[in-house]
Amino acid sequence: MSDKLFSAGTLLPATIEEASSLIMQGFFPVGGGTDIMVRNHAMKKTGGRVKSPLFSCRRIEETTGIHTNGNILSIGSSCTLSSIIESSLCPAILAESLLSIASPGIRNIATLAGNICNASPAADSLPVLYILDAMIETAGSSGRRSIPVKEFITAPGTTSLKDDEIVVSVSFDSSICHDDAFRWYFRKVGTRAANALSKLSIAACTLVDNGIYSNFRLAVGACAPAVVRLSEAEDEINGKALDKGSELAERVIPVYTKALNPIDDQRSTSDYRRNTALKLIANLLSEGF
Amino acid sequence: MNKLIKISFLLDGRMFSVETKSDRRLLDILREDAGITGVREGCGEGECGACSIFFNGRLANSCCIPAIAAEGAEIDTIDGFSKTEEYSIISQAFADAGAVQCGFCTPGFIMASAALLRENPRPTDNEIKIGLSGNLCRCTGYTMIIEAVRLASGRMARNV
Repeated sequence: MSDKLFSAGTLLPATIEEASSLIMQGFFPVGGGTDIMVRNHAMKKTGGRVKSPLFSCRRIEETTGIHTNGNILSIGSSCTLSSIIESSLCPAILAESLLSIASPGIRNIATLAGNICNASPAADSLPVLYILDAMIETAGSSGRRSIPVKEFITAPGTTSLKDDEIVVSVSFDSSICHDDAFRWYFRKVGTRAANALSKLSIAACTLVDNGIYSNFRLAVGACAPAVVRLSEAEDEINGKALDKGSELAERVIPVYTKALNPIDDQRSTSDYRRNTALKLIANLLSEGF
Repeated sequence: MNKLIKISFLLDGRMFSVETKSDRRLLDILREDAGITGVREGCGEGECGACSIFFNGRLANSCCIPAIAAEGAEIDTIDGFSKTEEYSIISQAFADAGAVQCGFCTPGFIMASAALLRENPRPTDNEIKIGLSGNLCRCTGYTMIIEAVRLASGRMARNV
């Protein structure tokens, strides 16, 4: 291809069709681009494969804004983490997890869709999106799809996004978060409060009616190739009394122990991750949110 | 595939255009093409905040912004910001608090301090720590920098 000048507008498509066409020509879509920029910079030093050229999806109308339709909250893929955190529509549990990502200057650029598409097992938004049963809305030349987040992420760094598709939005039923009986928990364990990737993270939420758990959900991040959410453990807790937390912990900790399979890496060790995750879960149940 | 694109944005209040690649770092455009060397490269990984700018009025790490994202944006650097009254107050506070040693991180810290004080004119110490959490200083430690933001906050309040 020639090196002739391209207009910037070409790389700021306004429609899904134009975006699909750019992808098929070899362009990579970015939301904020913060992670790709860091990776590319590192790759240039080591001679690795750089994701280039890039285009931005921010002028595609349906990737912008945060909307509600009935109980469904929908977050456009071009929305920055800061804009989501600052939105009155954003549930506190999601805001808390997004505030744990990077630092203010990155959160003003980076997007939630980017955090999801990176598909890092340590992505801080993922445990919360798993317990909210978030759906990833995609669009491409073959049409639109709505994919549960746990199916969207297929392996570390890999998603089920097809070649010609972009993520349009992330949506979930937020009504549970507005229930008076709703309680939530989010805890990220990292080396420092800002700019640290997680050693592990835990998100949990539940309804508590008359001291009884219902709709209990818990997800563990960075302790297996994918976020761990176990219906077997959740079923065990639902319908039980909050003040029987220590007994509940005794019953479900073995279930979580079996499912957690963390790795040793530069951020932490397998043993530390597993032990800390299990202690946080046991503590959460004993203290009863 | 590596075609050049023409990117235009408002830089410190003036239109600026450059022909570049879509994935070039805004940091490199600012330093190499616009000659604004007050925007520093520290880590190049979004960790140190030395390259902090205002991107559409919000604090941002310019090492993490691809050129294509800058098209049509309003970008303010330490260069333009240094001509404002806000800057005078903050930089004087940094000097008075002894918050500058080698000075490499200082432009980034001043931008982050300004962004914080715009959003929250009377921050608590904890809010200052969060506001500056994306900036690293390897000389002074952070006590004097936090003191500088406290000083600037007080002086701005008196100036109103």
